[in-house]
Amino acid sequence: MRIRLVIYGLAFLAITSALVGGLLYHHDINRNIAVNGRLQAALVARSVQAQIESHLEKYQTTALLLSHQHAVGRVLQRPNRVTRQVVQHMLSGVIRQGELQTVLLYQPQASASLVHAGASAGASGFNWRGDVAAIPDDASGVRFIDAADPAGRRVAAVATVNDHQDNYLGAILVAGSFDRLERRLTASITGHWLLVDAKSRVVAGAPTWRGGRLGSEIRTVGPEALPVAPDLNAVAPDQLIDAAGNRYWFHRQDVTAWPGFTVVGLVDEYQCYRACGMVFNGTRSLVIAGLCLGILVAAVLIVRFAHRAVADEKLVRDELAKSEGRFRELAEMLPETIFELDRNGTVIFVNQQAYKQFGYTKEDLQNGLNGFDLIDAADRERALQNSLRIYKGEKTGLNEYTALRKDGSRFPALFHSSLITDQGQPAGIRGFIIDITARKQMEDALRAERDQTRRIFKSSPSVICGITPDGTTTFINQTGERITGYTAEELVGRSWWQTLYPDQEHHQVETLLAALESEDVKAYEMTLTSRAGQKITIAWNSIVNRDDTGRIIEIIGFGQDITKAKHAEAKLRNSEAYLRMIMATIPAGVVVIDAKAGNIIDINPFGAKLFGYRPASLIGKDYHDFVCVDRIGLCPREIPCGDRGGSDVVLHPDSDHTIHVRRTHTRFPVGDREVVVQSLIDITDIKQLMRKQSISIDLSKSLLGLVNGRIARYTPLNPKLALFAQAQAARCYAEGGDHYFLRTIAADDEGRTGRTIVSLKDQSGHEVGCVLRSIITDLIHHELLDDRTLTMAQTMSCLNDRICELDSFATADFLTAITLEIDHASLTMHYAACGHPPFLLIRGREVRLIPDTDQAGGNLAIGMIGGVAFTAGRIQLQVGDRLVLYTDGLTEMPQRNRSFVINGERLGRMTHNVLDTQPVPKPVAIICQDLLQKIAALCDETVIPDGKNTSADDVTLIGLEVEAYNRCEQQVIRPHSVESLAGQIKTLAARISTEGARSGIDDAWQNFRLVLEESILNAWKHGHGEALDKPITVRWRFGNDLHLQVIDSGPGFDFNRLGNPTDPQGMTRSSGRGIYLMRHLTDQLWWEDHGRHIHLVFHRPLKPAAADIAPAGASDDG
Amino acid sequence: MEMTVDQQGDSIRIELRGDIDELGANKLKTGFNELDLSNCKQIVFDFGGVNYIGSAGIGKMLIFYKAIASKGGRLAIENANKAVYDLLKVVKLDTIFTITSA
Repeated sequence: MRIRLVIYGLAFLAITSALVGGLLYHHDINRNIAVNGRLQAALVARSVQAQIESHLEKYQTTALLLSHQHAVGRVLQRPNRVTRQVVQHMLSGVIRQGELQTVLLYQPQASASLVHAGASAGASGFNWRGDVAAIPDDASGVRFIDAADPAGRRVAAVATVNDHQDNYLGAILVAGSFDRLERRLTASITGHWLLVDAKSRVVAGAPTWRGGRLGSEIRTVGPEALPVAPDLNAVAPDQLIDAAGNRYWFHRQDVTAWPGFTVVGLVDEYQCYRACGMVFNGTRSLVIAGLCLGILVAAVLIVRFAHRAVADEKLVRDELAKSEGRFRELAEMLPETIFELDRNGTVIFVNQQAYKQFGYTKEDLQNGLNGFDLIDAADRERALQNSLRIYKGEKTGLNEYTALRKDGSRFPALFHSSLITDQGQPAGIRGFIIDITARKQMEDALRAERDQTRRIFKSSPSVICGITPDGTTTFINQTGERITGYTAEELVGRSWWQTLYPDQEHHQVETLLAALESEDVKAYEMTLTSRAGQKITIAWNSIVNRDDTGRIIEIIGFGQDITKAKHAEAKLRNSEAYLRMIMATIPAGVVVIDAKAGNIIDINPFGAKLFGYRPASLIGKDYHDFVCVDRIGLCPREIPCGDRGGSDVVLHPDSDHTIHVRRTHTRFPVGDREVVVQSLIDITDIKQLMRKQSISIDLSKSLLGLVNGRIARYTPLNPKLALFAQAQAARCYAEGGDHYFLRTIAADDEGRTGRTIVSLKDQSGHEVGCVLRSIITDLIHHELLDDRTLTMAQTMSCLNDRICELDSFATADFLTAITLEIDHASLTMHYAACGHPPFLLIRGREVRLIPDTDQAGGNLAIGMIGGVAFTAGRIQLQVGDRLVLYTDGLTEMPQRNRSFVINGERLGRMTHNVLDTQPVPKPVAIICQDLLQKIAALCDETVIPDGKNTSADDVTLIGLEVEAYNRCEQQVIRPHSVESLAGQIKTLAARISTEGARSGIDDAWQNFRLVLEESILNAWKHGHGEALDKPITVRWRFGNDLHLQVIDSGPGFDFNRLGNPTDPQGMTRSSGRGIYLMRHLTDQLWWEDHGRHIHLVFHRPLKPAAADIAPAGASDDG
Repeated sequence: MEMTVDQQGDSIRIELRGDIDELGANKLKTGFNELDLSNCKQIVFDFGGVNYIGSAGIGKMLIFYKAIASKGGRLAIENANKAVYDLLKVVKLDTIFTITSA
């Protein structure tokens, strides 16, 4: 250190000396430069001045010479040729030297100046007069005047010309330029010069310095400091600085010969520096500079030699510093806290991590943080003891303490400390602190996991065991103990294989071991023998632990007792085999279908036979490919889950065969899908049988039709009255149930009047025999009616007895019946209701149900009990009375969808409401139709007579009405001409059609018109022979039908002998089609009075006006 | 009943409008008798405007048919409405001459 100080001191001294010497040297140089500069400038100025004065002297001399010549030769007044020649010669000589440009002779007395020009440019523009005029007349000698003209610079020397008496005669002006002088001076003189006139105008000068043209940059010359240009600034009485910063010394020298003119010499700095190299007088400076240089060199040598001496120390110190720096750097990089404490425990160093970890700041450190404050109080004593041990030189290693943060929070940490020594003495403690919070947490987690694993191990329902490759048991869990029957102590350490796998099953062991060599084994089944001798099947998953060489050191097995599952599996296999056997043998098809996709999943052999394929080839096929599209019944996809049902389906195994099957189905989920299981029973034979049965039924019905015949629409009661009868029946069952007849028994000779019997019956049941029983019943009834001695009551009693006696009527068979007997003459009607709903009597707007309860005419059903005396009721009919007979299918229709039946009172109300819709009496046919439609609509059923019937039973209504023939409209046609006849027919047809529309008959207008026209034309043409004076009577009546009568007064004709106009022989006849058309277009046609009176009937179509029918669902009470 | 006759070459087209009742049938016959059937091979009745035809009208058609058939010609009825068409079929006139419906 001291040496360093000495060396540094010497070096400083040397450097200082060098600097001082340098400064002195620099100052000396500057001073010399300044001196040299001024000297140079003065030299330049004087040199230029001398030359200018010499140049001017020539002007002067020339002027004087010329003035003398003039004076001598009196050139001005009488210049003679010789004098002029001499003057010219002199001037020429001067001019040839190039310095004069012109010479003027000026004679003031003359009015004009006399110019004697030289060889060069003339004096144009030269203000001679003004300048010369300024010369006093008495002036003598030569003086210089400054003059300039646009052609260049000129200096004029003026010499006066005087005579012998020294009288002023004129002047000789000699002008010339300084151009040549300027060039010569510029070339010869180092430095710059300027010739400045009295008005500070630069007359001449060195054109350039440092490359710039002096003259062009100089504008003015200041009278004082002589800044010669705006860019030349005087910084001292003898110095200038130009715009570029160049320094110049200058010296002014007045031109003696030319008053007012001054020469300025300029020397720039650069020239001075060069000159200083030649002109140098700095001995002292040289000595000082040399001394400084020497000292400097000595200092350098000392420093250099001394540097080596301290180099090692520095190196050491540097290394030390580097090491410390690296230590600090490393300390900052470490994630652990690095600390240093002094002997008092005060923290003297911590890295940045310490601040983060403990929350202290640098201020805390500066304030004297104690290291033991970083430890929780509970561990502080122990930490202190360990510190003392460290001070004693002991190594304490890693110690776990609870570290304490500034905010009071704690965390587990490991402390490692070591002693710091200074010159062999303990100086403090250095160490690091590791936060082991995460490690602690991990340890806790591992501990918890281990505990949980132990619990799982103990409580697992699977066997968990470990064995060595040689089969020695290493561990087993409780489940294993339970299953094997051995305790862990009995198994651990002993051979697993020999204990649990007797010799005969040892092959399983060998197979397992071989498999484990390559990979872990899953689901390997082995059967062990328990302690109790039971065979227990275990499904093992085994894994192996291997050492570093890959050798198996332990096998760990996880086993599931599947003994029960195995037994169940065997049972299931047996059940499946059993089921398959059943499926294969039952004479019914069983097909399992995917409910969504519709493809066949499984099918038994019989089912496959129905489909016409082998079972295997049907699996996966679409079930619908084998079923008739229009007779598929309910599609499997449409069957709701859980639904059970059945239907008849038609299979078509190929295009030639169809098979009728009765199908029952069930849909239910199996796994993740739903299936439909269908059983199919071949009913093709049954269908054929039923078809045959249908044929039998049709035959039976035909027989019944033969027995009963058709109900006559009109039965004449007397000449004025007829009984209208119409049955509206809608069958529900092909086998029948409802049957009826209308029979007219004519008056006899024994005074018995004619009567008409109407009977409506309803057989119980709907099986095939029902039709036969219907036939039998009506045959018996007809037979009984033939006996005219029997009253109605007797007839019904006998019918009951006969039915009860018949074997063809089973005990449970019976029938209900409503029978009416109308006397033609008296219109007395007897009635007997046998277990049958009462009929309706509609008179005007009054509706009655007959019979009332407990009235005569109400009886038991027929066939229930024999020997019962039936009763008959009696009522007097009137013209216009309407009767409605019906079966219970009508009143019980609401039972299925509405859960009620229509009682008599309600039926009466409904019938009354039907009546109210029309002002005129509604025909019974329309009443029956409206009532049927109303009830069907109420029940949401479709019941169409002779058509569709969706209700649960046959529905039959018979409408009867006592109609009067003579209640007709009438019009007499009197044709005056063919035209009037045609017009009357047309008008009448329109009238009748309008009335018909009001009555509800509104279609087939054309047909009616044609019939009317044909009938009238026939009466006119054939009856009256086209006579125009004979009237034709037309009558018409709207009742249940439209009745038309046309009456002529002709001779009549044989209406039984009419030809057939469609006969090929008569096809082309132009007449004879009228009656044919009338027969075709009317429902009934007959003649009276030998053909003079024709009756034509148009049956009312069963299509009432819409206003008559209540909308569906409307209240039947209106 | 009105009739419009259009004779072109050997074909006569007769358009009828109105009812062919007794009166109309007479007018039809009168009009038909005025036709020159010497070179006629075909008679077509357009029944598009006919609403009604009676037996008299049917009879007249047969007369016309016989008249043209005797000359080797043929008769046709076109555009008959349903009622008329059905009526003509009832009397089997469709077996004698061509009848087409509208």
